[in-house]
Amino acid sequence: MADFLMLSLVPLVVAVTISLTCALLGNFLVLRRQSLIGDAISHVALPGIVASFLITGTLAASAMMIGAGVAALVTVAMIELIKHLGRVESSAAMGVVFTAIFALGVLMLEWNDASGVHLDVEHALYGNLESLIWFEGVHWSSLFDPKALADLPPQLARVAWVGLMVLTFVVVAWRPLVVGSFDSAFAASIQARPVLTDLLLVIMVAITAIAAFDAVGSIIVIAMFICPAAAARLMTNHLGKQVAWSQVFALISAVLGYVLAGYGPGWIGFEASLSAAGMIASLTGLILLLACLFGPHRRRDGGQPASA
Amino acid sequence: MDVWLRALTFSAGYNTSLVTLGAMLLGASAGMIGSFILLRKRSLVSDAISHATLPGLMLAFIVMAALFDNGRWLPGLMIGAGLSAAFGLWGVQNISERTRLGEDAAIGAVLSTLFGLGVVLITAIQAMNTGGQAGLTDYLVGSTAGMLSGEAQLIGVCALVLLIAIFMLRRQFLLVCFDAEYATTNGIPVQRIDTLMLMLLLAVTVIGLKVTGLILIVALTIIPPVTGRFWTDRPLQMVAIAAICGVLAGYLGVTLSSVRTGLPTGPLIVLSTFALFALSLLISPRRGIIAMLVAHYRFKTRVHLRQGLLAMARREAIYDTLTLRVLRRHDFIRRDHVPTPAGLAAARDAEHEEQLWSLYRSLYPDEAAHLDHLGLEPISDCLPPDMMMLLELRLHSPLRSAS
Amino acid sequence: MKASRIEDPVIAESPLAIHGLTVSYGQKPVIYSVDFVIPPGSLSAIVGPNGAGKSTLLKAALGIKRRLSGEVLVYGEPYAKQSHHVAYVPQRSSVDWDFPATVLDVVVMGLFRDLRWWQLTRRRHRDKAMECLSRVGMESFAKRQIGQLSGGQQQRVFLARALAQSADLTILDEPFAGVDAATEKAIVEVLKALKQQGKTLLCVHHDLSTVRDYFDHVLLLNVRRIAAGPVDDMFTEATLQETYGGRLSPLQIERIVAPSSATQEA
Repeated sequence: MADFLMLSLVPLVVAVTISLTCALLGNFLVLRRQSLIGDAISHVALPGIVASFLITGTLAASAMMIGAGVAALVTVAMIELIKHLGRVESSAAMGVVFTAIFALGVLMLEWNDASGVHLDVEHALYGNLESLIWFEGVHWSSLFDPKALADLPPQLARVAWVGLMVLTFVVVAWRPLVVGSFDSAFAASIQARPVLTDLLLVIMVAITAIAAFDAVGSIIVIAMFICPAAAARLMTNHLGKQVAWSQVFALISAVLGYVLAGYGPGWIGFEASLSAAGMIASLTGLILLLACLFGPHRRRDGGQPASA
Repeated sequence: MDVWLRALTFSAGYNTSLVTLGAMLLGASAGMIGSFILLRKRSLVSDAISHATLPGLMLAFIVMAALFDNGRWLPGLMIGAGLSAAFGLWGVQNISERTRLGEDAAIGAVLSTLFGLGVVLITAIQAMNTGGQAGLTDYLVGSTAGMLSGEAQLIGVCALVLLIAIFMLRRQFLLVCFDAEYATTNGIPVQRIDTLMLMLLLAVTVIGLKVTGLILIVALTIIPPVTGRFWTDRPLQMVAIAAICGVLAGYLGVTLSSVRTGLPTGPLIVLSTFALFALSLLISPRRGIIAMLVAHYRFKTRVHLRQGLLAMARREAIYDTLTLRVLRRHDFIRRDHVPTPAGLAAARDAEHEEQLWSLYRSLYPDEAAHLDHLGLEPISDCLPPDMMMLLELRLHSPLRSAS
Repeated sequence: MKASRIEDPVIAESPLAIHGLTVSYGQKPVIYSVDFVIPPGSLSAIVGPNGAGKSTLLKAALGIKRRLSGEVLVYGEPYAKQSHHVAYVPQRSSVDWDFPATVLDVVVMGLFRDLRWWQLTRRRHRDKAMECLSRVGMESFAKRQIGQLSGGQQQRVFLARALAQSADLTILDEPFAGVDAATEKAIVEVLKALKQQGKTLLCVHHDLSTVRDYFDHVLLLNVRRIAAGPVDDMFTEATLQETYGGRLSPLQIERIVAPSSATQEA
């Protein structure tokens, strides 16, 4: 059991928190047909971090966060610029920008041989959930021991703060988010500030992606932005219930994925563990697959004319 | 610099030249097929395809390692990648057609899930402890450094075949991209051509894996077509420009990567094509940002000038600050907003023009609708002299116009 | 601050006064230098061919679209200050009807201003929304998923949402596009009832044959303002000819401008 505390508790909590946070925001991304903005932003976190490392020379969390944040803002600004001034269709504009910035990141990494310092492409993509070890977590009593708690990996607190912030945002901005997602022209006419809401949503996505990046890598973030919310959409026609379903799905895939990756191979006789981030992403995809096949509201209603 | 020059002139050894040629052919076919996909507004489908190759790559490696003890045989890896990409594509199609989810969600779901699965398989391979797994992660960002000449030949030949196939099918593709419904009514098998288009995209992706890596091959199918769009409005010209752009990117990228050992090819190819794109975005005369901003500003001042002059002619007060500034710049008003003699004359002219235009519009509504004018240009530039004469006469003898 | 047109009493009382409004996409103007003043308590139509800039005019007036030049005043003040006086009904096709919401949810959106973020939707909000729904004959659909509605029903829901806003000026973009005859009749009745209460209404309208029956004021628009004023004075053969160019045959125009009594006799 002490093993669990030391090795598994923190990664599990981090994975669950990130999954819940991403899935919460994902509801709005999926409804606005902007799912891929999460994909784009997650890809550019690496270049931001590499750039900040090259400039500041440290791998301090704050410098990395700022670097990734700047990269995300630059990406969003460039996408908007190319979309509006260059009149390029939005998904193509997204594809142009995030691939180019990602390429720049990889080039900077290889050019300066920064790969030596635990920064590499693989880490960026699938994170290192398993490295979040709580050395002081030797016994259940450690949970109440301030000294032991101080030793918790810093990612845990970071992820928790971001989760809290996103939750607050969604609660406070619920109505503008809903109205703007459904009918942005109407939202503008009642001064619900759809453009501002849109921007804040993207900023929240960026912050979440960046906070998650270090701990769990980008692939799980992309999966969690899209799959649980998409699966939830197929379960219900009610927005509140959709959000609830997405949280349930995110929780199930995070917990089950972590357990399967860590202990699954052992059950079939292999002495190894698999990537937890990859397993969580795969599981949430599996849930979506099941929802696509059996979800009660999987098909469009089709606007059948009922009698007036 | 010297090294780069040698690479640029294809004199840096057989292998480098071969890889350069292969990358150029790859760039051309990616640019061409990407153009059709862009016209079909499905650019990011290639993102799903490329990420979906990962589990296939890894499974192929595992199978080959178990059977032949060598998992890195390129054709085998390509087949595996192709199969799992096809599965991903099938997933995207089915999710967006058969459920209420949009294509964006389908793409995102497929790419992240299959990539996640691939990552799980990578860790499984690492745990298996077989030989030859070191180069596997090269497929993420591409590497041509250790490429065997046989592999380079394979890539080059495949890219050439694809190039020819795309070239031969260009007209069918164009029809479907332009107006799928019209194509259907003309008995063209739209569904089949669409599938063929996506299959070719998939093939390009798989071939490009080794060169640019699976994340960056997407760029090669999106950026050159978007660049082409800046220079022409004609689709086949756009395809050609995209192909040239892809060739240039492959050429620059591979040769640049030979400058220093350990430089990854993929990012350099992508950054080369992005540089071409950025240049086009800025300076293209028809859709470039600079040209558009200048034109927009000019147009805006013309509208304000015209409205200001008309307001002066009708003795209305002007409140708009930009209008006032424009009038002031032309010395049509004084600092205290009182019209100057030149301003009054210009205002009279503007009013006269306006009357001629509106007379023309009411006398000849059909022609006026076709002319698509605004009354911003001098009317005498738009209409023939005899028509001008007629309008002037009518304007000055209202009795006749009433008849 | 700079002087403004507000001093003009006609402008100050007008629910919507537009002056010199120009909107362009790049260098292609969608509407050019349009002047238009709506009298209070009127039921006005904006009429013109496809691509004449009708919807754009509304969007620019509401600040949804950037304008190149011109001024828009709502009761003598800029729109941003006066938006609570205005309800806007966008084109039905502009939204995703697959959105997970019920009919009642959509109508409650019209109460956006009355609800702070910490407030839950209460009984009285729902009652108000239900009342608006019953005014358009849709009260029995309150719990229905919006994706299951027909085109006409969707349009009624949109109108109910506007009713919930209790605005003085209601702006509707093509409210009769693709709706069934029963819905068209119901909507006209609601609009006329609002006019009876002294509210002002402005519709983009595409069916020329009903302009005389439904509206009292009209703006004929084709990029420029062709004519504007009371329907009886301005909705004539000459102005229609100028607005539509060769797109309408003389026979069609004759039929359209004939007084409505004549069509009823026929």
